[in-house]
Amino acid sequence: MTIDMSQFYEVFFDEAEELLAEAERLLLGIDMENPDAEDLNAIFRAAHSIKGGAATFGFMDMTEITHVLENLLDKIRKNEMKLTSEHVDAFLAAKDVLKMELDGHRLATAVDQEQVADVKMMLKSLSEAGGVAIAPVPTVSEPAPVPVVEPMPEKQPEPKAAEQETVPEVPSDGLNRFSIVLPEITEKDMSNLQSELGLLGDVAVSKQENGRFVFKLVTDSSQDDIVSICSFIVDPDDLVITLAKAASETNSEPAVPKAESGSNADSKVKIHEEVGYGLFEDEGKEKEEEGYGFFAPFQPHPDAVASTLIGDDTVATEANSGKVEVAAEVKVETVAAASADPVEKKNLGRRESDKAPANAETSSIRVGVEKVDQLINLVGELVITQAMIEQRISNLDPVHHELLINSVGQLTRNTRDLQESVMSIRMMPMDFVFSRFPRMVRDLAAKLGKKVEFVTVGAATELDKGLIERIVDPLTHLVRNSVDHGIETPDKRKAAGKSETGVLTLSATHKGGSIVIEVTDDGAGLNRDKLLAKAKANGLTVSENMTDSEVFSLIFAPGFSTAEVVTDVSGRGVGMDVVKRNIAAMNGVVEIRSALGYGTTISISLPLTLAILDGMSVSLGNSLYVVPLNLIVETLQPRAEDIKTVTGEGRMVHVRGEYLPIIALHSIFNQRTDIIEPTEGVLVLLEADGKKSALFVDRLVGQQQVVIKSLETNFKKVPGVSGATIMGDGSVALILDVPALIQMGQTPNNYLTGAIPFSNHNQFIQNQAMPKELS
Amino acid sequence: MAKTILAVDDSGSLRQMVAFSLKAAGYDVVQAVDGQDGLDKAKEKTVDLVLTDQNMPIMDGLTLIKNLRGLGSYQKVPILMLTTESSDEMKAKGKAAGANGWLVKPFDPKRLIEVVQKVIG
Repeated sequence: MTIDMSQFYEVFFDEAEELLAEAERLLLGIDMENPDAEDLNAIFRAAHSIKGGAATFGFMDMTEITHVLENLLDKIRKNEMKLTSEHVDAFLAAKDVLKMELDGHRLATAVDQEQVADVKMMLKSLSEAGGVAIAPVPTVSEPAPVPVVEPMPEKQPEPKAAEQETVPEVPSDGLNRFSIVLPEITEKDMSNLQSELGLLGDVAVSKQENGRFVFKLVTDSSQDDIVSICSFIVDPDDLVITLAKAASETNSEPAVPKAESGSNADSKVKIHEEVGYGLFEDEGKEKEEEGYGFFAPFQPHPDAVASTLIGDDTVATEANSGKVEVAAEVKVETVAAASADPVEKKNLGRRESDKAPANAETSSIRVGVEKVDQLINLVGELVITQAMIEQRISNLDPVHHELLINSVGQLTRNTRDLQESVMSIRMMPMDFVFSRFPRMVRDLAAKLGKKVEFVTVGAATELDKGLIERIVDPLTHLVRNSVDHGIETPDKRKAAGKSETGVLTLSATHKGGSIVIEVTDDGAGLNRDKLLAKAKANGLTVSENMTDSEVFSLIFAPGFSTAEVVTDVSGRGVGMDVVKRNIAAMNGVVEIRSALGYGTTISISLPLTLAILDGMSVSLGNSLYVVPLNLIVETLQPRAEDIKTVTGEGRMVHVRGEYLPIIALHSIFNQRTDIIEPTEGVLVLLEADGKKSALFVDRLVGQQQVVIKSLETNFKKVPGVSGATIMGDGSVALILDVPALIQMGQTPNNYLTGAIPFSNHNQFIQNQAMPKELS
Repeated sequence: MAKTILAVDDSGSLRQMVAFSLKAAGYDVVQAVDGQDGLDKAKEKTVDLVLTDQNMPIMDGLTLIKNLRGLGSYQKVPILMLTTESSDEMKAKGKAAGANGWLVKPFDPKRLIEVVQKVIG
């Protein structure tokens, strides 16, 4: 039977990527002085799992790195080596290289071999530097090159020690075969040294009768290299290194000692491993072949189910002692979980969800985004149809049609639930975005010589996948800005009476129908006077009377930077305007709060999803328009004396001491209506980007949720319009792009450039988008 | 009736590979994501063979084996460790915990099936 391993690649890639991200997150959070044992274990396990998978699926480059990484981590988690910042740096670099290799396999992207070699060197030198540390008992040092090939024998049959000494080997392939006789050292030192030498080439070890260990090393390195490695542990003068010359009669089998661990020594187990598996058999005779083994006294099938352990007494004791130990371990785990460590929680969470469907193979299925979008689209249509039915039955006599009306009420509720469930499919936790920042902040802070503590709040808050992807760039920019410009250098902070370490907080919370993402730093804060001066210098119209939020919003103007020194990180004045534009494109709003000397908060408010909008429908002539509800401040019918005409500014309305420009929708969209005086219609006060305007429309129609349809994909981008929707009666309404309208209103003639005969578009859209059967 | 094998591994890709291979060979497979999950699943249904990874979060393989051997129904069910650590020490520990054998990772599906067939036919 052949099994195509490539079918598991994708799962492995996903898994490895997840593990790498997790390892990185843990590494960044690690306390160098007092690393958390569970964190170290988790990082070790990540490396270990990736190694196992990579070896199984044949990604040998990844196996190599994870192997060295794993060994190093193992030493650290066993407290045999102290964790230093060099380690963390090297681990992070290794993570990057592994990710690169992973992408190389997965996406066929380029792999920078130089970088790979650098990291290998770095890890290697770290392992060597920790010479006094103890290596794990020889593990699989080089996994099999390809999974379908027989695993490479790690341990060879053990020739008698006496034979060993007289087994010289012959250099036939440019490799030197050294025999190294060590002075008396502990087994721990020996195994450590063995793994160090393992980095040079194939190493095997045997024990002389006088208790000394002998290494057989096949390597292309020189004797000096060996001496320098050994000198970390033993005095080089005590070494006896000989270069083997004569041919080996036994075909130069390197030897491995039997581990002298107590339980093994008395178990009468005869080991002659060739191939990596074993079953323990009767009378301690172990059979090992082809990479597996059975422990005695185990009888392979068909007597498999007959006996288990040597004596029933043994079984009982084993079981009992096992139980005790287990109880203790479980307790520890619970404590760890209870310590509210996010990792633990995450692990537990994952486990729970994995377990949820009993005996189900997997807890999740992979579905293409298109399928989900299609589903969302269909549900959108359903919502529209449902609204239509609701509207049509509203004219029916409630007495005669009571049952029908009740059923439609039920349908309405079901539709709403269905819609919510379907929308939730696309929801992803913010952690998806947040998780990339700890590393970035760490690297940035190091580069700028600042001390920054990075805190995330509400990483579990969910947001639409589409928005998640689009928020990454703006957030990256904001975080970078905060580290670069917000948080001061340690000495400046000290001088200002703050702690040397700045705190950067990234938070996400739900507020009503939107999600609020905030980047907060406790840095220098924005300087109002400096901003105003800079704005003047840049030729922007400013006045001393502007509110703080208006002044702070100046940093979103194109080409605006107050940083005195332009660093290569940020401060070139490009970016903030892009940030603002990106967020506006997601129907989001950015706000800045800042106090000089205390810090800055940049707050982004986004709708939970791009697909649905809470809107107010307004009428203009015989058309309907939808205004996003979150941008409406209030609506009013003005009195004639409140309307003033200002030269060059057009008409203004006086509302509670403020003069706001009136944007007449009919003139912007060139639409015919009988109502041309604001006093006859309704003014909708809008606020976006810190600017207010009054939108003049005929009538308010009603408030409702609308399903947004893109105008751009069905037609083209129209200024002043952000999308379209189908109303309950089947008619098409355009959704207004409020920030753009306010902009148009302020430069009264701008909307005419790009001259769009709007009524024609409207006609076109109606023809295009409105299903015939709906009308 | 097809024999049931419990495959315990925290690595999803390996678990899937093991499960797929064993199913292809005609076995029923129950999967578990760590030792604790394995123990729970083992209690739900007594299986014919347990294959377990060693290094897992929450509960490792050795602990799982010890726990299983403490259950009346698992006194005689064969248990194999799938492990990257093929050191003698690990084997001794596995044996002491009550494992019946081991299989070194990485392995080829064919070998896995061969070993499983040796054990439970």
